[in-house]
Amino acid sequence: MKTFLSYTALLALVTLLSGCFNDSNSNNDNRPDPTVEFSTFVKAEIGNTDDTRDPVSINDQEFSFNDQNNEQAFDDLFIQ
Amino acid sequence: MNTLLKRSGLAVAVAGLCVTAGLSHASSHREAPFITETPKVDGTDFYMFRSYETGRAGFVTLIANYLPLQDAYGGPNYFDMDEDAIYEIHIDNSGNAEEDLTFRFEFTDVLNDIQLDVGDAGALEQVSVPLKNIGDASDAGNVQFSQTYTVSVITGDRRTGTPQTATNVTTGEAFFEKPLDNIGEKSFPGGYETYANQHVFGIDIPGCTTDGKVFVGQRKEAFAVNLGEIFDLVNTNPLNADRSNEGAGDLADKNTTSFALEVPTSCLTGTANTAMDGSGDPVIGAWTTASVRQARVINPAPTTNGKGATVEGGAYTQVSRLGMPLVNEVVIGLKDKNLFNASEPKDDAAQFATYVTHPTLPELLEILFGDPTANGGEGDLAPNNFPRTDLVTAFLQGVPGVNQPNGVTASEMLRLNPAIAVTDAGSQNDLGVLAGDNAGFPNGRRPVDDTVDASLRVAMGALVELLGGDAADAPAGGAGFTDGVQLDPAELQTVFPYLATPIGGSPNS
Repeated sequence: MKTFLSYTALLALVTLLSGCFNDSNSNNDNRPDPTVEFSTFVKAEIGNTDDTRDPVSINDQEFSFNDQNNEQAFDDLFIQ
Repeated sequence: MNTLLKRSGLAVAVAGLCVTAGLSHASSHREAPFITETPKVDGTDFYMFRSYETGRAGFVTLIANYLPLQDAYGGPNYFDMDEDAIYEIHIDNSGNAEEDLTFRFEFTDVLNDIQLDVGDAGALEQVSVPLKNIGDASDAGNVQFSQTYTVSVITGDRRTGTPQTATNVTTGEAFFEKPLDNIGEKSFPGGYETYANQHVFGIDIPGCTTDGKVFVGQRKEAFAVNLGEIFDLVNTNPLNADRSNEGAGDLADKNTTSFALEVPTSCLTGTANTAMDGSGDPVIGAWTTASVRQARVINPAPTTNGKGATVEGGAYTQVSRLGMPLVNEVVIGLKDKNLFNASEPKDDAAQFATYVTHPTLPELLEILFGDPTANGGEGDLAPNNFPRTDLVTAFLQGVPGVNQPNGVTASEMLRLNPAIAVTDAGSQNDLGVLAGDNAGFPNGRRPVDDTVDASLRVAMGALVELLGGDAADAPAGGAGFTDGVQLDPAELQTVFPYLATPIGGSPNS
């Protein structure tokens, strides 16, 4: 039991330290993001239009294209 | 123009160039694969020079051309700008390869739906006409579609800096009118030149104590280049030093759209040296860009009063870049041309240096016109001083004693020393600094400057010895390379906006 508690405490410490140092510069940002549905990405971008933004890097972004046969995929953008 | 969702329905001793050297489609016309898909935001030429109009020596003129290869008869829509894009001229007056000042142009489409009564009496239908004008186009009441624009001045970073709005000196408003393109003589019975000149406006630029001038509209293409021959493996003789009977080039029958801005010099040089007395560093670096929203969705059912042909949003994303002429045409490798158009000068050393230190154009000319086996295999045309520090100096840093800023960060842009006296229009030498006319290219660029010939010569080693290299490394460094065409200076204006009245769309026969 004591050993278990020690391991638990160690795990908690590691987790805490990971939280401390796992900021935006961590290795996580060097890995490709999970696959993003293309139409969702486009709508998110259009919904986040700001003159002061920088473009989103897409070189490491994987896209899925689930709306290729969905003619209504972007209809909500055209609501007046 | 800054609304969340934007609509594009109705409409949309030297030469830096140096490096750039000669084989070119044009200065920057359709030079990268992606930009060919979006001609409205294709920056083609950039001029920057100390104004040589009488009485204007205290000003610098900036002219950014976009939308290449316009055939004057290109109706009924002709050549409007992209309402959803931003067009920018960036100024670096501190030599650090980052913009200190940006002039941003944004357009708004103006539709004046003109309808005619069509049908039998008692059953008339009001039907919209398909043309831009139904009478004298200089009368706004006859014009169905036009554009206005605004000019913002951004201090600091182009996106996060402080924007201020320039105003029309006459009206006090933020909007300026863009003239219609030169449709033809019947649409402009009073003459197009008279009509166009009415669109030269005084502009109150924030931060400037003196007003400037602005004009955005169609102009006759001033870039002279032997286009067809050059891209047909230089199907001409570039070593024909006789320039006395050269033709006008393949772009002589084309128009372009010019963004011309005359700015008091002290507004551009910043705090470095506003006195222009030699006590500071007056050199200005500048380049142009165009950016569009990152996301675009095509509307399957465009409407006039609702969503237009597209819905666009997201961050502004740069798709065109131009400083020195010819760079993306003949210096940057094909695989990196789209990247160059999306890049910023501050990143040049890391991204593109090899294209300058080890340029391919001279080697191509060696293969086409020289003897690669001569001189023990070093050839008899292309320079052999690798890395090409002469090109780095001329192209990425500026010419020492002419237009190199103090402590310059190597980067590609057009650089002007406005402290150098202007050369009167009638006395300008189109080879600029290479011919002893230090008011010309690559100390900025004037409309008359033959940047193709100057660039060719520098690329082939014209500056190697002058910049401290061994003359033997540039076996053709003294040759008078030319693409065989020249601009006729007589077609240029000697007053703002300097470029000539555009070719009319009719009559053609």
